[in-house]
Formats: sequence, structure tokens, C-alpha cells
Amino acid sequence: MTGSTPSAAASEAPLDVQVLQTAASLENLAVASYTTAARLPFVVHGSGQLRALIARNTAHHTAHAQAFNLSVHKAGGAEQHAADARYAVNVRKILATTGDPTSLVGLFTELEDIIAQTCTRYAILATGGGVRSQFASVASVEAQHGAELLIVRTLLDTGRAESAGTAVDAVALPAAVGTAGIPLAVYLTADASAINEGAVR
Amino acid sequence: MSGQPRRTFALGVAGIGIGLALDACAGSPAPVSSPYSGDLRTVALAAALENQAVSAYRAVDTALRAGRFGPAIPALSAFVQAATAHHVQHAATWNAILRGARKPVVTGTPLSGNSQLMDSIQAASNVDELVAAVHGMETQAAQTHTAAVGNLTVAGPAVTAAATIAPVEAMHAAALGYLLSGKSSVVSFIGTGGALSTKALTA
Repeated sequence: MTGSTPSAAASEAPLDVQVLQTAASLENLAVASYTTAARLPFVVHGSGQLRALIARNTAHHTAHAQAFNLSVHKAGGAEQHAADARYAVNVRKILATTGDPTSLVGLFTELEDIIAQTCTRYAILATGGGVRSQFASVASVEAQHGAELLIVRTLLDTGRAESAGTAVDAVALPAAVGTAGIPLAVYLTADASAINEGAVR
Repeated sequence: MSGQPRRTFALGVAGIGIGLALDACAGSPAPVSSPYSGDLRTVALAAALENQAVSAYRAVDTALRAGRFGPAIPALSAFVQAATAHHVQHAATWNAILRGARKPVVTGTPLSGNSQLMDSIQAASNVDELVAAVHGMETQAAQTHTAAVGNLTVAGPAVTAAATIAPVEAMHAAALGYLLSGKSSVVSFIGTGGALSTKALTA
């Protein structure tokens, strides 16, 4: 999932306003993407666990967008209600041609990782302690979404539609499922969005 | 001419400077005998939490290998191995910051709640109880690091460490829950209500 880089024109807004707006734009993209995915036929008629994850993640991203916009408002900036322009077109195109759970889970794993990396980076960069903590909190939730999606992907790759229901069921899971959701010791930030990528202009 | 690479030398100098600055910052008061104060007390707490996680997972591994809970669960055993390695690396990261500030590294688990956690692992009568104990530990670590990101007074390696490690602890918690039950334990936000304060550090 690639996108063109944002305009080089720097916003005049303070750093915290810019990063909060960009984070909100990514959350808006996630909400729109999950909402579209929930209507895909193979989701509607497929695994209940996948449907539950999509519904739950949609609610989380909606809450994150609202929280970031509330913080933008408090910081004196304009709320961001548009989806991130760098990725929106490509994600829409991919969703339009996605026909199976494995591809869909792969797309969302990538999207969650981009948002998590962005929020991790902004948690380091932001100037206000409260804003830094907010980014750290949301980064961790997106990383958790990613962990669950990675497990689902591995289950699909091994011919299982759903995870274990009990510890007894878990005995049959291959070892690879155990490590699928925790691929890294330190969360990366190299794919974080530029601070003004979603700034309101 | 010294054989030491220039970049390593430069990093070492920078680390000392940042460490001294962290030490000088205001924070919760440390016990009179503690070598850690200011932001460095938060760093020492984080190092102790990582050491605790390593000890906890080693106890879990021992229990699983002994067959205390029936047949082996390959996915859980693999998870335990990987998570242990992560926490070892995290402890090294926090201790490098302490070392850069010329403070003693944290090698044990000087935490007021450590014995309670280890007792709960030893007392577990089934895998679900065992997993619940380490799940709670991971959630507490994620919350503690999340709080640290906002509370540390000096921008630098400690903030970066907290920001990049917190999501990993959160992933450990999420994966543990999902792996065994297929049910998600993920909520909208990682709170800080369960974060450990530096008062829990007994060093």
C-alpha cells in the first residue's frame, strides 16, 4: 500500500496541531476502510471472528478520531474529518478488488501498522505531555489490532478460519501462530506519516 | 589513536549528558538511599518491570515444560520464548540509559508487587490462570510505559524507549488473549490507571 508523498508546503500550525490532524486523518481512513470491508460479501457470509474484529476495530478508530479532534480543538486547531489523502485512493482501489479474507486481513494489517508507527513517532515528537501520552495509548491499541490480525492471517494460512476457543483447542495450534502476533521487540517508526500529511489547509 | 569507533564514542558522550539531565529533573521523591531520582527513577522502574517479565515468563516456561497443565501447547510455548527475548532486550535498553547516566543498572526485580505476581504463577491450577497472570503483567507494563511517555520531563532516549516499547507490551497482551480464547481483550485506549508509580520501585 503505497501513496504519493504530501505537498512540501509546510503548515503554519503548531507541531502538536499538525500531528493531531494527521493522526485524525489516518483514523478517518481506517473508519472508512473498515466500514467498506464490513459490507463485502465474503465478510458478511464468512467468519464470525473476522466480522467481530472489523466491527470492534471500526468502533476503536472512530473513538480515536474523535479523541484526536477533541485534542486539536483544545489546542486551537481545526478538526480534521477527511481521510488521509496520501493513502485513501489506493486503499479504496485495493478494497474494490479484494475478494478473500487473507487479502483483506493483509491490507488491514498494513494500515494498522502505518497508523501505529505514526502514533509512536508522534508520541516522541509532540511537545505536550498529555498529547504524547494520548499518542502512546492509541499507538498501542493499533499495534494490538495488528497483533490480532497477524494471528488471524497465520490461522488462515494454515487452513483455519478461526482461533482456538479454549486452551484445550489451543493445543492443536501450530507454534507459528504463537509468535505471529509479536514479530518485533521494538516498535518501528520508519513508515510514520509526515507530520503535515493530514494537516488541515 | 584510539581504535574505538567514533560513532560509539559520540553516542557514549551523548548518553552521559542526557542521563545527567534526566537525573536533575524533578519527579517523585526517591528514598534517601536510592541511587535513582527524577526521570531516572522512571527508567529504573521500567528496567525492573522488564526483569520481572523475564522472571515471570521463565517460571511459565518451567511450568509448561514440566507438564503441570497437561499436554504441551506449542503455540503458547513459542509465544513465551519470543516474549522472553523481547523483555530481555527491553531491559537492556532501559539499563543502557541508566549506564549512560553513570547509575547502577537494575539486575533484579526490586518491585513491591513482585512476590504477588510470582506467587500467582506458582499457584496457577490451569493454563487459563497462568495466562491471566502474565496478561495482567503485560497490561500493567504497557500502561506504565504509556504513562512514562507523558510524564518524563526530558525529551530523549527514555521517551523514545517508552514510546517504542509500550506497543510491544500491548501486543504481547493482545496476542496472549486472542491466542488461547479467540476472544479479543483489546479496548479503545490503553489507560494509565493501572500504571505502576515509582513508589513501587524498592531500589
